[in-house]
Amino acid sequence: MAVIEILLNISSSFPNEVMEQWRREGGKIVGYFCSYVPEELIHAVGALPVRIRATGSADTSDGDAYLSAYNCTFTRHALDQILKGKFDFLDGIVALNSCDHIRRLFDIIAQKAPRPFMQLLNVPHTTTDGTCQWYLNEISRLKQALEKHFGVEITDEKLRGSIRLCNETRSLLKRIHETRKKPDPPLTGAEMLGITVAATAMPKEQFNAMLSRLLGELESRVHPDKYRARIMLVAGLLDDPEFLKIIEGQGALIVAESLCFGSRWFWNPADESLPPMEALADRYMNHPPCPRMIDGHERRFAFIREMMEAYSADGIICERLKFCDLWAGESTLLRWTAREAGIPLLALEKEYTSGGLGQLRTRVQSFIENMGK
Amino acid sequence: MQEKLFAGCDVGSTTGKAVLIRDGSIVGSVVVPCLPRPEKTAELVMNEVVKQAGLSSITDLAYLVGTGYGRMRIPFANENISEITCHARGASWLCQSVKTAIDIGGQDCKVIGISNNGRVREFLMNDKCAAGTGRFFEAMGRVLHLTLEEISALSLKSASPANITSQCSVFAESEVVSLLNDGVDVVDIAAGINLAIASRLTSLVRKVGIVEDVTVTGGCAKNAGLIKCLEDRLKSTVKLLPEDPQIVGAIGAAVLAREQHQKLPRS
Repeated sequence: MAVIEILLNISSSFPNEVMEQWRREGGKIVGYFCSYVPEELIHAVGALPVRIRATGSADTSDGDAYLSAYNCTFTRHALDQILKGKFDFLDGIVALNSCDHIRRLFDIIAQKAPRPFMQLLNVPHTTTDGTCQWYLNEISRLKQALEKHFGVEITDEKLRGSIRLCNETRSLLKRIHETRKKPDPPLTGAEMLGITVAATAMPKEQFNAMLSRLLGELESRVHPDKYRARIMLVAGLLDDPEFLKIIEGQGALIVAESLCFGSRWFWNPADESLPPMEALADRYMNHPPCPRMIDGHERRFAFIREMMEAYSADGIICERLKFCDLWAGESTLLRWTAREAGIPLLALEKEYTSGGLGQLRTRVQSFIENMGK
Repeated sequence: MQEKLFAGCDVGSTTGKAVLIRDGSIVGSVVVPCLPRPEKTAELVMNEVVKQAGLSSITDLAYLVGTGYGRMRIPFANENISEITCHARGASWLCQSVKTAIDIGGQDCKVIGISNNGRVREFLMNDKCAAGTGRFFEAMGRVLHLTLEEISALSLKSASPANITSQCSVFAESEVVSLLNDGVDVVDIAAGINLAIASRLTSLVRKVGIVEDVTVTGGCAKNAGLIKCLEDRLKSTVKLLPEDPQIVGAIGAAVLAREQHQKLPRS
C-alpha cells in the first residue's frame, strides 16, 4: 500500500490501529485538546501524545445532557464519546483555556468521566515577554505533574530528544506542504489534512519514517484532477478531510491552509539552541496564532497573505464551527481585511459533522464562478 | 439566418423550469412540478419547452446550461452553472438597473448583490433551515387549509397582522395552530406569516447591503403579500421584472448558454 493510503487510513478513525497496538504493547496514551499543548513533554515522559478528535461520532445525546445546543458541536461530540466510554484508552487528558467551550468540556469530563491524569493549562491570550514567562510557568507545572504521575523524570537530555523529534515532524510536514506550490500539486488539500491529522495520532518516530518515504513518492506523483481555482483554506478546528473533498469536488483545489490541524500547528520549529523549556515556551507562544490570541489578527493575516502569495492562491475559503465565538469574530475581521486587500473570500459555517452538502456545493461553485474561474 | 436556440434548465427543489432564447428574446418557457428524480424532471421540462418552440428534439439546441439543485444531474446539459450566478445574470438581463436580487425558492433563499455587468458581487444563502422559503409557506398553507395564492391574496386584506414570533417553520406551525384556536382571523394570520418571513429576509438582505434596484426572484416572488411586507421592511420599492419571477434562474442559464457557446472555438 502506498504510504499516503496508510496515513489516510490512520487519520480516518479515532482511536486507530496504531494507537491500539501501542496500548497492547503496554504504552501509555495522553490525549490533548489544543495546539498550545506542548506534546514534547508528554513524549518525554514516555507516553504517546494524541490530539483528541470525535471522528466517527454520529450522536450527541449523552453529551447534550451537560452541554447545550449553543455549545460548539465538537465539544458536544467529544463529550458524548467520552461519556460513552469511547476514550477509555486514554491515560490522561491535557487541555487549556482555549475557549469557553473547551473549558466547560474539561470541567464536565473532570466531574463525570475523569481519566487518571487530568491537567488544565492556563494560557495567556496575548504574546508579550511577560506572558511567555507565564506560559513557561504553566508548562513547568505540567512537566512536574507528568513526572509525578508517570514516575519518570524529564531530564533536559530527554526533552531535547523529544524536541528534535517533533521538529523533524514539523520540518517534514512543511516540506510536504510546500510541494503544493507547483502548478500541478501532487496532493489535494483533503490528502494534506489527512496526513497532518495522522501526525497527531501516532508515534512521531513511525510517522517521520513514513513521511520521508512519502516525500519520495510525491516526486513522481501528479494530481490527476483538473481544478478551476487555487484556494487558501482558513479555519479553526477542522479535522475532516471529507469536508475538503466536497469543496475540491467543485474544482476549488486547496493548495494552502491555515488550520489548527495544519500549518498553524506544524509551521515553526522550537529553537534547539535554547534551554529546552524556554525553547518550548518560545515555540508555542509564537506559532502562527489561533484567534484565541486576541492580539494576533495582524499576524494571522500576514501569515495568510504570505502563504497565498507563495502558493499562488486565488482566494480564501474561511470556515468556522457553528457557535465558535472566537472564529465568529475572526471570520468577520478576515472578511473586512480581505475585502480591503481585494482578496475574494467565501465564509462558510458548519457543524462538527458535515451536513447540508447541497448548499455547500452551490456556495463553493458560485464563489469560483465569481472569481471568473 | 435565424440565430441558434439557447436553453437554460433550472431543476430546483420543488419545480423544474426551462427557458429558450433566440436573438435576445425568450421564445419558450415552461414550469413543471418536480418528479422524484432530477434527471426525469429535466427531461420532462425540456421536452415540453422544445415542443412549445416547435422543435422536434432537444438535440436541435445549440447549447444548454443546467442550474439549480439538480444541476449535476441534467443528462443533456453542456455545462452546469450555480443558480446564484444564473439568478444574477437573469435578473440583470431582464432589468439592468437591478443591483440586488432576493431569490426565494422552494427550500432556500439567497440574497445576491449584482455588479454593473450582471456578475455576482456578493451573496448570502440561508442554511439548512426552511424558514423564509417555499417549504415554510407550504407548511403554513397545510395548517390553514389555504393554497399559496390564497395566503398571498388574503394577507393583503389584513389591517392587523397577527404576531408570529418564531421564524422556525416547525415552531411557527404550532404558533399558527394556537392563533387559529384563539379565534384569530385567517386573514390576519396569513398577513402575519408574510410579515415574519419578510423580517427574516430583511436581516439577510441587510447583511449583504441594500443596493437599489431590489428585485425578488423565485417561486415565492409571486406572493404579492410578501412583496408588500418586504417593501415596508426594506423601505425600498421592489422592482417587478417583466417576466415570471420563477423562471429568472432558467433565463440566466439560457443567457449564459449563449455566452458560453460564443466562447467555444469555431470549427
